[in-house]
Amino acid sequence: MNIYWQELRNYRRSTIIWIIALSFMVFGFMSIYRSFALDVTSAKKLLEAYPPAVLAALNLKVEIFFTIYGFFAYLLTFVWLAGAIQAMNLGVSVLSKEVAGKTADFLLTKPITRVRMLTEKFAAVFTLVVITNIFFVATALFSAVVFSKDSFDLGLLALMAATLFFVQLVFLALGFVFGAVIPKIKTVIAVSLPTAFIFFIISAFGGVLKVPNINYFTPFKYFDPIYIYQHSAYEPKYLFVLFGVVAICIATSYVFYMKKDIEAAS
Amino acid sequence: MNVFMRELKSNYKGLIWWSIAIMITVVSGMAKFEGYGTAGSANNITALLAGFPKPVMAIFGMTGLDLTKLIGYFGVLYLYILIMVAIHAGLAGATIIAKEERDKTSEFLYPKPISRMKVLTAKLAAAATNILVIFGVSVASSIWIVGYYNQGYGLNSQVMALMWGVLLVQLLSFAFGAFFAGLFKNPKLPAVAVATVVVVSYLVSVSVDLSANLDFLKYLTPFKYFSAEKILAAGHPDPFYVVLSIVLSGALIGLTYFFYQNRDLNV
Repeated sequence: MNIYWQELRNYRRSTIIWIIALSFMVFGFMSIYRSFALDVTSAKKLLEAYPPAVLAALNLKVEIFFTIYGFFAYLLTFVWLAGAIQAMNLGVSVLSKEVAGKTADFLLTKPITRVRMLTEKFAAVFTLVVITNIFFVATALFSAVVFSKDSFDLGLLALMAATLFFVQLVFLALGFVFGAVIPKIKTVIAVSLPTAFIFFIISAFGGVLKVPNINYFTPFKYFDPIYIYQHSAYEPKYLFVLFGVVAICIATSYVFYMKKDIEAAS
Repeated sequence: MNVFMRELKSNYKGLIWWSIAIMITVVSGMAKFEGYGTAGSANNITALLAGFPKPVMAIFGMTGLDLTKLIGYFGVLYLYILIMVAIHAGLAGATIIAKEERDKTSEFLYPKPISRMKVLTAKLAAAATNILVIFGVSVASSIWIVGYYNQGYGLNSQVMALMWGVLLVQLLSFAFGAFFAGLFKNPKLPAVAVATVVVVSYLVSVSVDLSANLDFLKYLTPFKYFSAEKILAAGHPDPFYVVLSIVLSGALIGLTYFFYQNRDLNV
């Protein structure tokens, strides 16, 4: 368990900073909700003038987007992006830093197997993601309670907020496989930031395209707020894909890292 | 010249990857225009929501750009080009300076009979060359793809107007990256700092759309200085922000020299 605790210690500071940043983000965004709710009231009046047929077509979108759930869902997209960067940073750096910092031969000559080392390292970054999410969900619910005038379903909002965990899980696993496979990564952020943004851009433009399959390619599309709102659950098919991707990434990391030739410090 | 050539060589692989990423972003982003342009319901929603308060529009993904027009659609894509080039330029500026300390090669490089100022100039010039290549790739792929869908190059002047925004955002981001690298002793910090600046600027530009109370924040984010709505409406980037960006970048680069000249290097 030494590696596990060591990694938790290593990332303590950056995780605290991330938690503060995410909390600030959700609190800050939710503080706009009051003024947004006023805008919505005037928008609703405008809508009343439209014929019922048009409204029916728009109905669901309007129903959710004009509530706190809709506002929160909008914010979530950006929280996912930030969370993806954090998780990917963790996943990439936890393995690659040993090579970059020239400590790989120190670590790997210890009397523990590589499997054990990988497992402890993954467990450590996984724990950090879980901790981040506990704080995030708590802050999200707290801010919603503070800034919403109307009552709302706390459970549903928590379910939406907890999607961060699943999105982060994908990027954590993706980062882990990057760290295991790429021989040497010198600047972690130069790998994680573009990757997160590319998936983000796919999700931004995938929404415009009426091809449903594009959604499988980006974790940012696995959680449709409208579906969660209607069913109070996540979409099973995307959860299935999500866990599949995570399992493949982790398995690949183990298989590859077992045989990897680690560059020793010279 | 040795330092300059060496830096070009050590960066060319990354540069190829970035060029491919930019090209794919531009070309695949536009490929979806057909899907959008033909989807009739999109036009209805745009018409329906016209006159709504700005934050409500923002939530629905309407930004004041006419998405049924080719150039309006390209304007949406343009924001994402800005983000990509900003990430590239910022990291290029930060890592090219910080890498010697990170890789523990500063003891090798700096005792060479060449002044620190010369090394810094050569490095910044190499990073600037990389950034100009990325700019060239953005311009070429944008002009090509817009021309392709437009079946002609009549929109070139509008595309180029947007592209000057790309160049200025690159310049700013590069200057910030270099500045952080000149300032911070920890060689890992500059890349993280400039990445934070880019992501936060993007998030700030998003929140400006959501509330009239946050309007003042638009002065803080380059993504608003050179937003597609403004450039397309005026036909050119706002001169005030052009001057502001150039002056700010110049100052940051100047400070980079100042700090880096006087700094105790990590060995």
